[in-house]
Amino acid sequence: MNALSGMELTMATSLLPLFGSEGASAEAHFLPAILLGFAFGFVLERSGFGNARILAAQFYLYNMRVFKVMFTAIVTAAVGVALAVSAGLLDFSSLYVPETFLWPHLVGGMLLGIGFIISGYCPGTSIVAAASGKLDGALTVLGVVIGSVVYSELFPWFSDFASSGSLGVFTLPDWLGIGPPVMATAVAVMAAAMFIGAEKVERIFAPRADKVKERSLHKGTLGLVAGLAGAGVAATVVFLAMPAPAEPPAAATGATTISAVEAGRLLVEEPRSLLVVDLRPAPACSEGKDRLPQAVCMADVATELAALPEGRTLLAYGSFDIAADSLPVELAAFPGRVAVLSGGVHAWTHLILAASPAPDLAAGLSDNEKALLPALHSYFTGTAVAVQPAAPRPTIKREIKKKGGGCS
Amino acid sequence: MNVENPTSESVDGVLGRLWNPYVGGFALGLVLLAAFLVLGHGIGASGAAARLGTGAVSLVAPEHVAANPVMGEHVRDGANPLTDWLVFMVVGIFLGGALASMLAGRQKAGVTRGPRISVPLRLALAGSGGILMGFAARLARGCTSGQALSGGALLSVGSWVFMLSVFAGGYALAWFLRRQWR
Repeated sequence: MNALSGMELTMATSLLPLFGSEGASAEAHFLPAILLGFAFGFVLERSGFGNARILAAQFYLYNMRVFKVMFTAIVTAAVGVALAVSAGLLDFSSLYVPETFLWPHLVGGMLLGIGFIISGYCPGTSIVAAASGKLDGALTVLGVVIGSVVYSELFPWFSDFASSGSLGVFTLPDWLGIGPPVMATAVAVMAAAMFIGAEKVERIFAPRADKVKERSLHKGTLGLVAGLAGAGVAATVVFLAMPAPAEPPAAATGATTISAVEAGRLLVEEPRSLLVVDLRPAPACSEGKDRLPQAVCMADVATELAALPEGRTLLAYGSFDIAADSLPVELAAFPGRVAVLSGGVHAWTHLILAASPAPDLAAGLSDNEKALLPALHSYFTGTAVAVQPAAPRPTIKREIKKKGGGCS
Repeated sequence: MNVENPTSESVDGVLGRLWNPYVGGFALGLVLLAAFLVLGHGIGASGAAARLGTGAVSLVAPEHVAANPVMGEHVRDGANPLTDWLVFMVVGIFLGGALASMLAGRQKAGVTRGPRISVPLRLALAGSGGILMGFAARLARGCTSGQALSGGALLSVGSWVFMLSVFAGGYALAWFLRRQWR
């Protein structure tokens, strides 16, 4: 049972992202990219980010729009992602998460911050400034282009540094060992506290700079921030209520042994995600005698194994029991879950196909499995079941499909 | 909710009204979320600049571009460096910024500067700051959009290191550049 639900958890697929990196052509990204860019540029401009003086004011503390806009955006998107993942709509593992390179991120960040206060823009906002007719914005855009080329030209001299401190895809939840929705909520609560602090800082520094403090955190916006934190809490509750994430397929090295009933359930429920391999000697397999449904012979499968998509389950069987650790090398290296049919063809024919299950084999089954036997028998032999004529197919309750419990 | 901010006329040299920063941030977050849900990828701005640079250099020295380890990636297998969704996104950012500023009556040719700095010096600083950022964004594999905002929302450790470093770098140099802005 555990093995089965574990497999379902890892085989689940989510609807979103719509045009993930796999499957969609590069051209499919062009139209959404231009529309999303349009919305991004529009909102940046309306937030005042096309103006270098507003942006620079962040660093003189009399107007902290940069901080407020940025962190509200981060919290909104982080909580939104957490909600979408918790609802099973979004597959987090197919999102592009920037890899962590500690030293380049540290030094690159410092240099970019220095460039920011010199030019008054960051690369994205300089585009908006240029679009608003600002010559300084256009020159910053040109500078960013030139700077990128300078980087490429100098790259051979510091290529080692550019990839130093590599931690791969490494997130704050990974680091702190907490769930992503918990982390998103923590960021939301922290940001809310810092917004109140930012308003206080502005109140102090605006008069010193002969400015009028911009009034921005009133009832309406406080409600917005509180709503974001509340949504984060909701995502956290859903996340914590979810069953513990299944073991990732990579961790499931080595084969597990499953009963004939479980094998039958998999064949009924998830036939397309199952690769069945007959390990009996060539004549017995190729003649097709007592071969399991959709099974292929070892000779036919050996060359295709490497090309199989991940997320598949490989079910191997022989005439009788096979030791899980004595599988052929090609099968043992399969990049996914490997299961071995306990009792092999013998168990299959005498439990599932036989009119009355062999008592010695049935004795090893759980009550749930025993209850499924008549339905599986009828399904795989095509005969009506005497005891349950109304149920020609096994009715198997599906587990809720959640990918990795929202984390990856 | 009152989207327009009644007191934003007091903000330096801004014509017309701005959105409340928290409302603007919320809208920005929704755009970013939409990018995650549709593209599976955040927003990016500096990646397109790098491709634009590669495109410009390859007009003059295509063999040199192909031999460069960074720019060569953009033209691998004879690819056009500009045929990339990042470039389309930046075209969108420009158009969105243009429409927003036009509708707000803020689209006006000029140079944004503080009262104590000359136009030529301001332009020189704008350009040289841009060069530094272009370099920094490649080193950090993204800028404030792609790394700090997008990576930050996905809670990547490197993105948060980057974001905090950007603020640190800005604050460290702010005092020396105060004449440009105030």
